[in-house]
Amino acid sequence: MKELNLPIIKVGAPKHKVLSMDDYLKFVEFNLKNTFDEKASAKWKRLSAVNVPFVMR
Amino acid sequence: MTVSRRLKKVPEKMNDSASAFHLIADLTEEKGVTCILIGGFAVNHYKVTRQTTDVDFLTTKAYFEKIADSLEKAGYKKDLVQETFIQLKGSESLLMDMDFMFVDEGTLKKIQDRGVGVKIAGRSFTVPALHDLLALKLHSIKFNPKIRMNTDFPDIINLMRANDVNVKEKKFKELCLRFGTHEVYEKLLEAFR
Repeated sequence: MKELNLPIIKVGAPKHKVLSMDDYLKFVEFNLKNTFDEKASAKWKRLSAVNVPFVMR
Repeated sequence: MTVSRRLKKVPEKMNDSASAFHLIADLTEEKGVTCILIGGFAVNHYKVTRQTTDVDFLTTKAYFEKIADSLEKAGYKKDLVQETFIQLKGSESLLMDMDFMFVDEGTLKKIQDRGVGVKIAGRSFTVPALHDLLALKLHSIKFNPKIRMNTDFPDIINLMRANDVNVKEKKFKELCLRFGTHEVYEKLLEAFR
């Protein structure tokens, strides 16, 4: 293992970034423009539909 | 002023998806309609970022009917229509797809009253209180477990982690058993063990 000279990472993973709502909008926009699969999305939306009323009383 | 004219007021530098938020903000204001932001945008407000392909709103069927024509004029077309929701497709690249989930007036008011104000693209919206958002997700899993366990279950876990919700707290357990199932609660206990 020593011969491999692998880097030893001593610091922890950076804290995940919390996006502001406007930054999130940009993130969604970027993904829609660059990675969006319209066919797959439409199929997924149909499959994931829930047609039972949500009631909170 | 008509909605289409208002849309032209969106600043050019504003990203394309922002126009969907401007449109809804204008319509709800103009028609006195309540639409609560749910889905990925509400999840992001509670510090969990994941991809979404549309904007989801909670409203009543009657409120939706008040804005349906204007949405159509703005370029939206009905895609999937069911008793409890409608999915709209933006026919221009400018407009993000929108989903509207229908609830009764009392439920909407309760969620609105407890909701939290947020700003997106300079406009004000309400997202549900965290526990109400969790209740909506539990409901989705309960009635479409095969698919929703893959999407809403991770959302619930991440929302609980990011917002320090204790799986064993009485309030959460009651919520889980009321809107979800015992099985889902057991799975959550397992996830937090």
